[in-house]
Amino acid sequence: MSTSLRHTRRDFLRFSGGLSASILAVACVTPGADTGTDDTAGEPAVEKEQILVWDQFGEDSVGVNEIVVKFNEAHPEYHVTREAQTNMRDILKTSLDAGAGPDVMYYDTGPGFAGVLARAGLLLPLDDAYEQYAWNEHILPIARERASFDGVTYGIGNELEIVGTFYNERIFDEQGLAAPDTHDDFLAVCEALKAQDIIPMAWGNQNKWPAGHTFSVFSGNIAGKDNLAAAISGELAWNEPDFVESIQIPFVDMVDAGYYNTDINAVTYDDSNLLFYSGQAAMRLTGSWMIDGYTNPDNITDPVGFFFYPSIREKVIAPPAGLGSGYFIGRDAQSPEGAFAYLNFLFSDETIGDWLEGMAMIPPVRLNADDYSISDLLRFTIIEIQQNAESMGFNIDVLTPDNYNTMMFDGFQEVIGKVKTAQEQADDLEAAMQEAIERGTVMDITP
Amino acid sequence: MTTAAPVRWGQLSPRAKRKALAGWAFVVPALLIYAFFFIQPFFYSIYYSLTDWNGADPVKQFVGLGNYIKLAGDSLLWQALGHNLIWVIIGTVSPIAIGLLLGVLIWTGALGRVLFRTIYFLPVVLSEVVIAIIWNWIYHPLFGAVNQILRGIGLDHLARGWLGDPQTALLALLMTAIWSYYGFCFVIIMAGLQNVDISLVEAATIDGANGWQRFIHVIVPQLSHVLTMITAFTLIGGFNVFGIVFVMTQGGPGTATQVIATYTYRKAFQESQVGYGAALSMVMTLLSLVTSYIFIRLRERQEQ
Repeated sequence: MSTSLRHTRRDFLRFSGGLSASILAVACVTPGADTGTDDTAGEPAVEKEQILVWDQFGEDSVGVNEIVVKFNEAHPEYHVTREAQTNMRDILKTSLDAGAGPDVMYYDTGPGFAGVLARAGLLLPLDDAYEQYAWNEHILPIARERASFDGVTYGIGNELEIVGTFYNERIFDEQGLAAPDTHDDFLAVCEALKAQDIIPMAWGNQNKWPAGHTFSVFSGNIAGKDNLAAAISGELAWNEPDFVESIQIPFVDMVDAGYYNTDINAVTYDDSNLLFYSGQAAMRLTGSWMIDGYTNPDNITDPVGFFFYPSIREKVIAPPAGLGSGYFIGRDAQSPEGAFAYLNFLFSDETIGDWLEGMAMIPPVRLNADDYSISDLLRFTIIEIQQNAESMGFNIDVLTPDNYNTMMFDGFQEVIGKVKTAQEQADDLEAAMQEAIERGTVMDITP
Repeated sequence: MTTAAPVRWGQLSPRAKRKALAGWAFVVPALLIYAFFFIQPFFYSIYYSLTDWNGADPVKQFVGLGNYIKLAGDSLLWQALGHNLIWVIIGTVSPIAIGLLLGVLIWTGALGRVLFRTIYFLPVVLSEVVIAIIWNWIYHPLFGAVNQILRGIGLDHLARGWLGDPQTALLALLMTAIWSYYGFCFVIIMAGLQNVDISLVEAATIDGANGWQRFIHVIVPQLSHVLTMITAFTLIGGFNVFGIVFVMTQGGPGTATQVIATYTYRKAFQESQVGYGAALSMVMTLLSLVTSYIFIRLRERQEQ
């Protein structure tokens, strides 16, 4: 007996229809992993208001996940779902515009980022929430200023950070060196290290953005805080001599002198940290967000010290300080009240320890560093920020328009690669700023 | 030769009608998906290219041909276009030449034919991002294989940050692209070689043609359709290249490896100039279409 293997089109349709119906039936009766309802036995299920949060901390960020768990436990009427996004800049605008975006987002505060969303009406104004939750009383004014556009506040800036020089204390001790007080002293330290075949400073600029921090340090120290603020606001030309010198010294003179590792443009930011961890390099010019890494014995066993880049020609220093990103609420948030409650919780007394102790991040609130179990390096940073807030400079790329930033990052690679001079880069920076002024994307940070 | 006259719907028998409807039932879903995901965005892109839009504002300010006029004076576009042309030329000729050479060598009866075919094809199954990451390590200035080998054989002076040097970055990327693509050319050419008429090769041998002459005058002409197809694919790929460049250098150092696709991404997503980015993508599309059309027409004319 033989069985025919031929099937008619009708058989195929019958099979497909049956399969679809089965899938649908299974989907309808299978319980979801998390329905966001409170279905405690014996009590009617309470529908929780859902809050979707997008941030850039990474999927496995223990500290942020801990905060979310705490919030959900403390607020049974809400349920926060956190999603870590690595390509927020690519998808956020479209998602919000389509009404499919998050309720709360952790996004760059600059005029080219949150500023674009705010001006497009995609963010919820928070001026009333600041009053309602008395945020002005414990959140630092800078956190509000940096998240305000055209006189309206849209968010809370977070991650207070400074940029300066981390150094390997063991190497300094062995070489009989001390943290320098002047730029000339700094160059002498570099010469001494170089003479011992130690890379004075590890620098990886393949990612492009690290050069922005270097420029922020030197332009703050050479042009001064007020002039830098004026330039960022489009009121002072970027090709003034002070800014040209701020490019010439770190991107040309110090490169030529061999004070960095070779192949700066081919080494990544992470790899330059490896040079520092391994003791091949003695110093790193970077931000306080690296404190967690520099105090982790799994990375580096030598003690790490910190100093602000010293004075150049006896000028008053203005080390870069600012905020990393900020929390914002979408215009179409499903539960604005829930989103306000989440933001309030993020910077409440209950969570400050999570930020500081769990993530070595400084939240934008008034706090006493001695109340927390943190590294000396982080404590030192907090005290410096608190004591010198008025004299601190700026992280340029956080405040400047996006077209300026892309030009700045590309241009500095070209200066390092000898394709462009410091003067040409300064001229290009000014041209980019003029284009941004024309487009209306410049943020005024002058007092 | 005669062609069948078109038949009206009413003239069809019920059975023929059912058959025709069944055909449409299979075609329409694919057509709808194609229209939704390709044709609709394409026309939207044309519209966006005529606006000054930042990707977020509810109002898209119509600027007519303003973006296209701006393109003409954009030195970065011309630089990116130059890089694309280099990519198209080297990135098209090299993998096809390597694939053809390897294909013919193995076709002539090399031992371990299946093994070689598998090895050569392996890079094709890797995703572009994986390839980019692997080659980032190979080129790494501190511990990369290329520099280690150079130092190992006493050529220390040649060791460098291949991706950080404006003189070498584009060529280093091209090497990666060629490595990732020649396997595809090889497999397609191998398939084409199965249809080569052996009797013609044997006849040429009897007539005294040497190996090179048999290759150029007998084998290659019989592969012309295959080579045309691969070349057209590669040309289009050369104008659209994005992944490898974006992951390995982001267009850097500076703008030394910026190509039109990465420049489009930069304008549309990093600088929030979606209108201008859309105009750039139109240029890219146009270049791919025109180049491919010209190439195919030239090939057809040559065959005639």
